[in-house]
Amino acid sequence: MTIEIRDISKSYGQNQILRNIDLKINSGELVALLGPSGSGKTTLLRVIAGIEQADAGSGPVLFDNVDVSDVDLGKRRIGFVFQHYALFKHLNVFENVAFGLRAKPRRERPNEAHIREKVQSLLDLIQLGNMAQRFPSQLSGGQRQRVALARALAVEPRVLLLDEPFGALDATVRRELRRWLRRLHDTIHVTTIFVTHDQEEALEVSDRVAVMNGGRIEQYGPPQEVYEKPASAFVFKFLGNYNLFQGRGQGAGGEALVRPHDIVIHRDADAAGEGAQPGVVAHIGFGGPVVKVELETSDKSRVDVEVTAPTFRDLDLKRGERVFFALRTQQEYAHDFVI
Amino acid sequence: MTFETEFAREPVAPAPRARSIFRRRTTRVIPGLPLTLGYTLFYLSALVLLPLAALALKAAQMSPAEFIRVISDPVVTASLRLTFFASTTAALINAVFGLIVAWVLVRYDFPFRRLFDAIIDFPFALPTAVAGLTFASLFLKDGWLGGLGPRVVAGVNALAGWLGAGPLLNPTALDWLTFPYTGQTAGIVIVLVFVGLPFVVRTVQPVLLEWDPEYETAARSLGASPLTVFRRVIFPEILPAWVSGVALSFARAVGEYGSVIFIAANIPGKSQIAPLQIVTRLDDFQYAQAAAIGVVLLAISLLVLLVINGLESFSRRHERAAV
Repeated sequence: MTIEIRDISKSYGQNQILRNIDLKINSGELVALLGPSGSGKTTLLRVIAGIEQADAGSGPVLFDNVDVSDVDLGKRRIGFVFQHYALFKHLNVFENVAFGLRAKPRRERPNEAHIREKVQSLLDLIQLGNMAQRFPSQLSGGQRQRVALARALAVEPRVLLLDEPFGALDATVRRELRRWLRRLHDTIHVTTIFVTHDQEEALEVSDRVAVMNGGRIEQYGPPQEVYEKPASAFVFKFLGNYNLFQGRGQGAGGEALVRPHDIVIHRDADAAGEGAQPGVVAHIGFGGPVVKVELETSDKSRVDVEVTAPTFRDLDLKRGERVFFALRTQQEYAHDFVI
Repeated sequence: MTFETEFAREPVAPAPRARSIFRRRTTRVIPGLPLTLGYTLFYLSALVLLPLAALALKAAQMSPAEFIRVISDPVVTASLRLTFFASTTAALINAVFGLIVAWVLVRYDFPFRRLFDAIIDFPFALPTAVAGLTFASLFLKDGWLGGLGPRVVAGVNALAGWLGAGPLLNPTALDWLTFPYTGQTAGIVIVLVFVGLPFVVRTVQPVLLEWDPEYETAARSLGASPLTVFRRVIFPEILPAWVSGVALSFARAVGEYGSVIFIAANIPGKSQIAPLQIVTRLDDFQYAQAAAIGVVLLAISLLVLLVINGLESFSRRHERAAV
């Protein structure tokens, strides 16, 4: 199912959270809403779900080109996974998943055998088939997350909305679960939107990423495009580490941004080529596959460089050594005065 | 549509368990557990168990036959019946309306909400005799509400006379307005409702306050109707607090004396509550008899409270087992 929202704004009192948002999501896509806290991503998700109402004067929320702005949350046929899962504590895993089926009006309610079958197949899908009788308090965070997902899927939603789905989990479980989510999505093909503040998560999992800032969408595109051609300095900075060179290059008054891995270190000036600058190795941070080298330039500013472990071995850098560094690529942006 | 992923083992938080006094390796919040435990047991014994034992001992001074004779006295059984009937009715009324009051106070914002919230505690603070007197002066035959019919008739007729017409209304025309239960069981139930209301409100309120509305949103997003949300999501959560509030309200009503004697007609065998029977016996220096009635009162109360708690834990288990 396609989702389209047009000119959505939302304020709480004086505080404007969303500013004239337009967004279009294709059927079966997996889209990430990425942004720092307070950027409005969760509010946008809740407006799409129907939990929050957009301000008067906003445009419509369209599901398959049908305006659902006035359709009640319960009737929108969405599956919402809450950040803290909101599993019903007094119900076991089976009953949590069955909740939506049992809550249907009598005419539409499937019979008991059907409910059992459906819930069991969902539990198998989330690989918790043997935990049907457990209560939420007896599950780990990742398991709760999957139960919440199964509960949302039980009512066969037209769209799946996930609010910081992995926010409350440890790093390892997060990584594992997001790959699992991607594969799940490839299996069931439900149009899915998830909110995250973790760029790595958004870039790795989604088909398209909408980077949000200050209630606006700064850039919307496939992960590679967003990462390689950031539309604004904000997007560049938000998506990873960077070095900032004030007013360098041709764009006077602007800023040039360079990723640490887009800087090359050479031992001699000739190999470094034209435009290479000298620097002194100030610190070496060994981080496994990537080594973080901090260089101090002649004007005492610091430059972060990331080199792969084999390159680092070849260079055989030591602290205090003089080297030369060159920029592979750089992005220039005019100063934005938006706070 | 199957695919398998190997999930890492994550630690699952163990359910909190009551600490055995024999295992002492866990960290202590209150230092010196044996001391606090000892104090608690001493305190409970001195203030609760000892008097109860004394009561039973006093009743035991009678021979079993005499004990049976005292408690099977029609006046006594009638008073016990009245006490438990009125208390149960009051507790059930409070169960419904206390829950509604707590809900409204937590969920809605309206002018003077905090004032109303404070007023809930009045029955706690007010000497119950004062409450009884107030209710009596309102509801008894010559009270404001108790005598409403004749008062209105008199008023209307006086107005008609002043306007030059004859008496408009027959003196008994508005008798249906008169509060019809003066001095009867209903009067007792009303004061007991008053006395017991805060127990239900004050036990349910904190649970509702702590309740995260996200659960409701979750249930609604799954298509549940408001009624289903309440029945299957909210109610199970407040059930334990609600049940204990109702039980407290019931227990309070059973022991209530001060307010009831002012509104009841106190006719032995008809409208006399059990605590009044006890006081009557004490006035006659029949201490053992008074103790015997007290023991029966306690035993029935205990039984009722046990049944209420049993029902609550049964319903929890039932809800959990419902697959």
